[in-house]
Amino acid sequence: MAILDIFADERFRSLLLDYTQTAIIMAVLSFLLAFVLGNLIAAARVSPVPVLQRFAVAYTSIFRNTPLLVLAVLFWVGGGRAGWPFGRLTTAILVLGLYTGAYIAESLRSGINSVPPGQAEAARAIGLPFSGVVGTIVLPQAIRTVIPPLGNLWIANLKNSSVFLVIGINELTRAGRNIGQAINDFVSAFLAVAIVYLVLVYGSAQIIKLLERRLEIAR
Amino acid sequence: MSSVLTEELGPLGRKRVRIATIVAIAVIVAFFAWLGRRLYLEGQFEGRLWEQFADGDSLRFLGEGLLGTIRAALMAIVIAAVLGLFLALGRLSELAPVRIVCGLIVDLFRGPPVLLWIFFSFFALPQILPGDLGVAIGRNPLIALVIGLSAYNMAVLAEIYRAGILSLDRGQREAAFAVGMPRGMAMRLVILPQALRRMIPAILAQLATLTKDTSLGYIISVPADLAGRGRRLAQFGTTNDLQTWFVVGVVYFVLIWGLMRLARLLETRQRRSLGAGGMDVGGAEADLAGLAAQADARSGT
Repeated sequence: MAILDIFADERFRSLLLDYTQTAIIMAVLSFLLAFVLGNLIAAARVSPVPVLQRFAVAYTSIFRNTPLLVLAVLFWVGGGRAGWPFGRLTTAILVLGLYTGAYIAESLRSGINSVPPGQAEAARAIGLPFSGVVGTIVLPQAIRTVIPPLGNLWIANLKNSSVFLVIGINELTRAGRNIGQAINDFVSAFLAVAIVYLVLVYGSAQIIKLLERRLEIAR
Repeated sequence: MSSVLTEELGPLGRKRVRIATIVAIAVIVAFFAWLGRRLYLEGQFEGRLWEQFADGDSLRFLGEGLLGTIRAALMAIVIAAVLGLFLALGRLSELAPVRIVCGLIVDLFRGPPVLLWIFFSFFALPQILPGDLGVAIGRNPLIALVIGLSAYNMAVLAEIYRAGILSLDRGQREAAFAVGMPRGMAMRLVILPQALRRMIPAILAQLATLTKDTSLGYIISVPADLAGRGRRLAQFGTTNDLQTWFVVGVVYFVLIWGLMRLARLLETRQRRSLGAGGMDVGGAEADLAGLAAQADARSGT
């Protein structure tokens, strides 16, 4: 069976659509969670409170240096022994959000640090309060430099959602395995899935580029 | 740590920081106390669930798994580094067809998640490779894991190489041409030696990411690496999954943290010796598209 036949087949098309939908839902919700978490952790990281700084460093270090698969199994299988209260999809979204949140915190921090210190100093010199310094001077400049790395993290997040087939989520990569088994042709099945991923990934990349151009600082 | 936002605090600020410190400590302690109590009530701290990890045989079993993980990661990074270099040179070739084909290969392999290529190697390759080779892959998931990791990472490394080559001052190339070197020779003797040295931190950071991804072998039941050994250990112990994966996680963390640390160290050392010329280790995979975009901008395409 050729690759295009998979897309032509009613059964496989609806399976692909269904599993793609799950992957996208997982990616969107976990990214939203990661964004909120990332902001909190980054705020803790740049705050003048030493305890919060250390907590932020520990958080990013732990979640960036542990394999996602191990986190997924630790929470689902290990947590399952200790009264972990959530279902599969919720667990996947939570773990992926915790993981990507650490990366978002790091890029937000480097975005904030990329704003020249003179900007904040000038804002303080004209008497702006801390909220004014952050809200009207530093953040608007930082957000622009942070869009491309955040876009890349969105794509990485989408790709990482594939790992959660290990806890039994029916997502896109699993669709490849199921279709391959059904037609006994794994080559076509996985290439068909690869095409779906390519569309999602490079489609996202185009949107990010557009966004970037829109928000670019005119120099 | 200095940041744009911090300045010397006055008495009021110092007082606020003290209050925030107390509140933060209270919240963090409360969270861990709550977590610890729940785990205690579930009986997760009982000695019998942990005693396995005080036993030499289990530790040796995990230690061998660690070696298996390192071996798989090293094999994959070497294969990926060599193939990636050829792809990067192909993308910078003067011949348009070579450039286009190499660009398509890079985009194809870098787009989908690495797990897809691991699955492809494990399930699809045995169906298309002739006889013995296919059988060998089907029978030994470790080979499939290394092939899958190599395929994905060669494309990622190709982008790192390309960014590194293009980040080099164009005067180097022009000078090589000016003394009469042909293209290939200039690349081999002048550009690559300098570019490769700059890329070492970025390649190391990618090795750390790749090492993380070796754990995906768990899904195709690779027996000999850390994750696979963890699975078997948890099966022996019947109910100590949480403890096993905690220990396995800590071992992975130490290994990957060490690699990232080394990459950062080399990066800062290079920054100092090269001025601003070094390559950003950053979030490795995450910053790659940025690196490539920078490279594109510099090459003016």
